[in-house]
Amino acid sequence: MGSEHAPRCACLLLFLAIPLLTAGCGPEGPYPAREIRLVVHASPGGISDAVSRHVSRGLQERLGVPVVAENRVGAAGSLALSFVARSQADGYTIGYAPVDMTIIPHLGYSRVSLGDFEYLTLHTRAPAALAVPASTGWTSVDDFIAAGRERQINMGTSGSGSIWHLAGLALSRAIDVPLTYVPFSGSGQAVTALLGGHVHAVVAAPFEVDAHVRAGVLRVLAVMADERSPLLPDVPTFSSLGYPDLTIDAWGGFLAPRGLAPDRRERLLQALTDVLASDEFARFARERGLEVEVRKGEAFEQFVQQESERFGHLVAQAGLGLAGAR
Amino acid sequence: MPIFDPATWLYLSAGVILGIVFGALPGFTATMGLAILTPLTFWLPTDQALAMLFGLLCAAIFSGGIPAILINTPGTPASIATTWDGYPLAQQGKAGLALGVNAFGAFVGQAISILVLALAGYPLAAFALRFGPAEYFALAVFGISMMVSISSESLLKGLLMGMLGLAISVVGLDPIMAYPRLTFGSGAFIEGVSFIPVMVGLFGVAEVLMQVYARAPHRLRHPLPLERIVPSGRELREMAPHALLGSIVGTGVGIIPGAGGDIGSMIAWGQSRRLSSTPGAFGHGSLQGLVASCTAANAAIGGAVTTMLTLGIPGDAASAVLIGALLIHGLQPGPMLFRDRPELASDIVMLLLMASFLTFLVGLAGARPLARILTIRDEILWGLILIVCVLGSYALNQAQVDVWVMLVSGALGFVLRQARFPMGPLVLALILGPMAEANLRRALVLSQGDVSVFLTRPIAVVLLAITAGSLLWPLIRRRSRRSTGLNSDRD
Repeated sequence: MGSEHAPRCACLLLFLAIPLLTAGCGPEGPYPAREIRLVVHASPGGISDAVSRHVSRGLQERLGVPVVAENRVGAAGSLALSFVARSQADGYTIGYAPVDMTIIPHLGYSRVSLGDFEYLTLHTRAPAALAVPASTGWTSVDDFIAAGRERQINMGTSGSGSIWHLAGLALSRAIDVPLTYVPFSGSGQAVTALLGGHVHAVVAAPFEVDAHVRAGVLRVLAVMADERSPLLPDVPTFSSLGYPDLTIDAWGGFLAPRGLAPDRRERLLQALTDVLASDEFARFARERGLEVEVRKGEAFEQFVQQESERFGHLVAQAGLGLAGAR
Repeated sequence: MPIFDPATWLYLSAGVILGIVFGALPGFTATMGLAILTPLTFWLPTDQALAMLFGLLCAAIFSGGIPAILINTPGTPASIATTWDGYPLAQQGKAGLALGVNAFGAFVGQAISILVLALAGYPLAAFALRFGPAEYFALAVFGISMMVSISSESLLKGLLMGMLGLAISVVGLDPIMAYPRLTFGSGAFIEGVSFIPVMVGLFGVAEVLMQVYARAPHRLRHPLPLERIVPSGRELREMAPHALLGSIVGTGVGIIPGAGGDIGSMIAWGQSRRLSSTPGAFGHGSLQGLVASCTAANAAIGGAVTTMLTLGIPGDAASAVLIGALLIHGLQPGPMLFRDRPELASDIVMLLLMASFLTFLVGLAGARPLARILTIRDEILWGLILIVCVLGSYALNQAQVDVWVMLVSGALGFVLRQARFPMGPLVLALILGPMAEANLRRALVLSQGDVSVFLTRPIAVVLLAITAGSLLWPLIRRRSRRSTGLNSDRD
C-alpha cells in the first residue's frame, strides 16, 4: 500500500467508525436517558410559557437530562395537545395542560379528546377577579348588580370562548344581570380598555390587574374562588357573598400521552412535585401572582372531567363557536 | 450608576450580540430572543439583567434592517418599510451607505423615543389610553390609506394587492363570535394565517426566486471595497427632517398599545414621501425614505417601553416579555414604579440609552463587513437565505403548516412580482386588516350598532379627517394648479 493511499484509508476508517459513535443510541439505559421535551401551547412571553420554562429548568436539575420547553402554537392550543397525544408514550414528550383544553372541544373546532392523555399534575391556579375602574364608585358586587339592572354593562373579555369570557357568562347567570361582552385579543388588551374607560368591567386573573389595583386605578369587587387571593387579601370571594357555585379559575397542569409506563410516570411525577414544592418555584409563582396547587394523577383527571362538563354547559347556553351554528 | 459598572457593559454587549443575531435572521424575532433570555437573567442583579434584555431589544430591531437592505428580506416585521428604499440602495452598490444610515437612524429613533420616555412618558402614555375600539379603527383606516402611497407604479395593482391582503386577514376565528371562517374545517388556520411566515415567503423566498430567474441582469452590484458608510453633510441635512418625522411617528405609534414598529415605520415612510420635495425617489433608493422608516421602527421601542413602564400595560409581545422579566426581579411596572422609585426609572432610561449607543457603535463598525455578505457567491447566498427562511418560519410556532404557508407565499410573491404587483399594500393589509375589523366590531358592540360613534369621538374624527384629507390632497392640488394655470407636470 503506497503512502498516497494513507489519507484515503484514514477516511475510510473514520467512515467505518461512524457506527461506533451512534452505539449509545441502541438499547437505552434507565429512564430518563435523553432529552425530554415539554410542549407548550402558547407563544414565548405569556404566563404558560414562563411557567414551563421555569419548571423545565427545575426538571433538568432533578432528572439529569436536558428538558426543553417547546412552543407549538396554533389552532387555539389544540395543535400542541394533539402533538402530545400523537407522540410516543415513552416519557420523553410531556405537555402543558391549559384550562382551555376543557373549553375548546365544546366550541367544536378541535378534535382533541380528554381521553388521549395521562394526567400528571395540576400546578397553578389563578381565580377570576371582577375588576372595575376605581372611578365608577362601585365598591361592592351589590353596586355592580344595581348598576347592571339600570343600564348596559360592557364587559371586556380576553376573547370569545376564553376562560374569562365563560367566567363572565357564569357571573351574569349567577347575579341575574345581562352583560354585553366585548372580546379583545387577550387579557392585556381588555385591561387596557378598562383603564381607558372604554368598557365598564373586566374579568381577569388577579395578577393581570393587581398592579393597577395597588395604583388605585382599578378596584376588584370579588374573586370567583373559595378562598381569598393572596394577591388581593382585602377582596371578598363570591362564595362568601352568597354565590357558592361561582368559582372559576384559569388553571394549568402537565400531561403526557396516554399509555405511559407506570415507572416512568412515577419518575416524572416525583421530579415534577419536587420542582413545584421548591422554594424557588414558590417565589416565582408569588411574583407572577399564581397560586401553586398540586393535584396528582386521578384527582387531576377527575378535576379536568368536571371542568369540561361545566364549561360544556356554559358554551352550549351561550351558543358560542360552531356549537352556536348547529 | 449602571454606566460606571463594567459588568453591566459586559452583559449589555452579550445582549446586543444576541439581539443582532435574532433580529437579522428573518423569522426569528426580538420577542423570541427576549423570551428565551429572560429565564437566564433570573440569577443576575437587576441592572445587569435589564442591560442584557434592553441590549437585545434595541439591537434586534436595528439589525432587522440589515437583511432588509442586503437581501430585501425584513429581519423583523418592523423593518418591512426599510426594504423599500434600503434594497434599491444596495442594488445601486450603496449597501454600506444604507447600512450606515440604518445604524444612524436606529440610534436617532431610539434615543429620541427614550428621551420622550424620560421627559413626558406618563402623560403621553395616559393619553394613549384614550384609544378605544373606535380610535383603533380610525388608526387602522389611516394606516390602510397608506396603500395608495406605497403602491409604487400602478395604483390599481396596489389596491388589488391590498384587497388580497384584507381577504387573507379574515381567515381564522371571527374576533367577536369565535366562529371559524375559511378554515375549510381544518384546525391549521383557526388562528388565521401567521403573518411572519407570509412575510418571510413574500420577501425572502420570492427574492431568491427572482434572482435565480432573472440571473445576470438582476444581479446585485457588489459594493466597492472603499465604499463609504457615513452619509455626507448634505445628505445628513436632507435626511434630518425625515429622521425627526420618523422618530415622532414611531414614538407616537409605539406608545399606543397594540400598535408597533411595523405599523409605525410604514406610516412614517408614507408621510415622509408626502412631505418630501423628491417623492419620486421614494422606493428607488431614497435616503429620506430609508431614514424615515429606520427611525420610526426603532422609535417604537421607546414608545412601547414607555407604555409598559408607566402604565404596566404590555403594548406589544416584546414588552409583555419585559414585564415578566421585571417581575422576576421584583419590579412591578406601572404608575407606582415611577412614583415610588424614581432612581430606578432613571437607571432604566440610562440602560436603554446605553443599549442604543452600543447598538449604534456595533452597527457602524459592522456596516462594512456586513456589506461584504453580498460578495458571497450567489448560489451559496441563495441557499443560505432559503435555509434561514425555512428555519425562521418553523421556529415561530414549530408548526409544519407555517413552512407551507411560507413556501406558498414565496411562490405567490414571485409570480406577483414578475407581474409587477407591489408587496407593500399586501403586508400592510395583513397587519392592519385584523386591527380594523376587530375594532370596528368592538366599537359597534359598545355603541349597540350606532355608527355615529366614529364621528363623535374626537381622536377618531381627527384620524379619519387626516385620512380623507391625505387621500383627497392630490386631487385638490391638481385642481388648484389647473385653475391658477401653473404647469402641473412638474412632479
